[in-house]
Amino acid sequence: MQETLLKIKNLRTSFRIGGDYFAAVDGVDLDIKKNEVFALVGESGCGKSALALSLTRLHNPNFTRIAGEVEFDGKNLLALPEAQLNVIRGRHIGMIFQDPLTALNPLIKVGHQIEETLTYHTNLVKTERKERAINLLAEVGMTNPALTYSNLPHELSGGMRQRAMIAIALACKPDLVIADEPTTALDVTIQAQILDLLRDLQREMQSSVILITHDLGVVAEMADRVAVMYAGQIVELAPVRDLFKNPLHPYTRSLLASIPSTDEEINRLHVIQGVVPELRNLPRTGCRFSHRIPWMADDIHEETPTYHEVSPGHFVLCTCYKKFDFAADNNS
Amino acid sequence: MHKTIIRRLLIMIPQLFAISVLMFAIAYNIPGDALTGLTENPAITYERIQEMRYELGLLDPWPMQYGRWISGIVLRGDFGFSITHSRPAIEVIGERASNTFQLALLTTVLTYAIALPLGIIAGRYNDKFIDRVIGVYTYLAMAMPTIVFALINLLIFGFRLQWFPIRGSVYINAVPGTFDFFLSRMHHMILPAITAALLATIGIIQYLRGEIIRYKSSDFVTTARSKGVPERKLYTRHIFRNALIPMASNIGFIIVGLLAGAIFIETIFSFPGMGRLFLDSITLRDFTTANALIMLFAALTAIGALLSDIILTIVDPRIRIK
Ligand SMILES: Nc1ncnc2c1ncn2[C@@H]1O[C@H](COP(=O)(O)OP(=O)(O)O)[C@@H](O)[C@H]1O
Ligand SMILES: [Mg+2]
Repeated sequence: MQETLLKIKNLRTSFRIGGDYFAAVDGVDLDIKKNEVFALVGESGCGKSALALSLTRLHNPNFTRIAGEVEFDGKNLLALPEAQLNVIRGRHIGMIFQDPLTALNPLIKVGHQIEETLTYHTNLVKTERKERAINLLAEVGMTNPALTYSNLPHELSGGMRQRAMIAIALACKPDLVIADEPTTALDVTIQAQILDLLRDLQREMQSSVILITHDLGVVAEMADRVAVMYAGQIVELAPVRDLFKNPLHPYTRSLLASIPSTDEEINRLHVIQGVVPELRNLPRTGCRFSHRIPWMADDIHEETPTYHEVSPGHFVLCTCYKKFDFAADNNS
Repeated sequence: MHKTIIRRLLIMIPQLFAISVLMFAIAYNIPGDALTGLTENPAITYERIQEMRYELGLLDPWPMQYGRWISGIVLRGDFGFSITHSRPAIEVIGERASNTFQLALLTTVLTYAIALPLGIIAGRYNDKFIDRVIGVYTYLAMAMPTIVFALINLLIFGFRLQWFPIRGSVYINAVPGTFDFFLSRMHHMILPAITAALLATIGIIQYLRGEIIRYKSSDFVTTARSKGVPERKLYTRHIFRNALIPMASNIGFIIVGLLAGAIFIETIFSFPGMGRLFLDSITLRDFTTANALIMLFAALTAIGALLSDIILTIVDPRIRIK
């Protein structure tokens, strides 16, 4: 068994809406192993970004409450003073975001934005930092790194911007890279290139990656393990091969059916309709997925859903997976 | 860049032309002219005044008068002769213009000197005590009509405390070019300038505060945070720079706004500038001077907008490249 790098214990992230706090991440437990690509999948709005930003406390504390523990290198990141957290941010944990245009400062040269990471985590002097930044730009596949160094973000194409973002995140060779939908904002043709780059760098640097996506195709190609998230909870957790061979939770099965294939007609019948409810309307008791499969009898769900380990490392939430059947679904 | 400026300047020509026709027509239709005042003088007969009007061309149809006026401007740079002042209008304006520009400049400097720090503090510490205090200031200033605020200041600091002179732009016996002259000029300008500046800061403070708060939760600030950039540096390196850019480009509009507001401020503080000259000219039916002033204001407004765009190109690297 691989060593654990990051341990998430009962993470609960709540946002203030109106006067009250509503949990967008509601009791998540996960272990991220060293040197693994861990995928987190789920529809938009299910709490993936809320989870990712909680790990290094990147949420605005005025509107957000984070409870639980995030154990990294023997410390609880959620209780660490800001100054010590800043040592870990960028140095040990790097972040890549969805939209590389808004994620880069529009007024600062790409090269300087890479150097900024180095400024706070290394003793390199200015000229060394510049050299390192240009090397990084070459490593992420820029054809003319010296030129790109002096470019402003808007002068680059979407794919190049995301490469620059990757260079920023990897500047200090972090132990963990959190990539929040790194290809969602990009053209289809560019997506594969960026994912290849990420995987190559991950292998080269032996770092762990939390890859957030709503695309199971990406999971199949990239990940070692995968967690399926729904309405703030992990509903299924498994090694990638197990999940694709034996998907259990109705939500996972629906997600899988929505991957385009040759037999599209049949698949469409197996896609469950509806969306993740808004935070305020989220059912907080019982199986949160039950209202999306109303044709199933109520008693197939657990009153307080628990995780069931169906094979080593393969967990599924609630008992509804045992009886679940698409056949009665006449919504589609 | 140069091409753009030249193109923008050329576009101004038809704009100014349209304004000139419009306001000439309006002035013509306002009852009275520069000689109306003479009718109250019993020594001059009505026939004599009509004769003078005829000689001056005031009885010609307005398109003809307009043609004479505009061709004078275009061909000779001659904005006409002010009968009221017995001098060319441009000379009358010239003296006053420099007063107004100095006042506008001082007001602009004061406006930014007050607004930028307050806006930055309010945004940086939003919803904290200090932000609330600044909020009360902007709230009061917003509810305050210019005239009322100006009169209060005039009353307290001019009449009561006598800290500042209550009229004029410089002491009569100050010698131009000396340091005393400069000091006296400042002494005369400070009260009207502060008055106008305090009111002009509201928009800047509120806008800057909003921008800073908005940028705090922007994606690129989250990125910077994820890199381990300390809180203080997030502000100085990422947030303030982005928030200040639109401020810089606003200078042109601020100056234009001040020129427009000069009418009130100069009248209340009896400051001999263009704003008061304009009011006086209308009252005395000195349309030659009034028209020349309007043309000047119109040109300045267009130039102010252009100035804003030029400054924006200088401070915003995204535009600079193009
Ligand atoms: N800052 C916030 N304030 C209030 N609600 C938020 C905030 N951020 C996210 N949410 C809500 O939390 C839920 C999860 O959002 P998010 O984590 O962004 O989903 P995902 O990344 O999976 O698409 C959504 O219902 C979203 O509307
Ligand atoms: Mg997201």
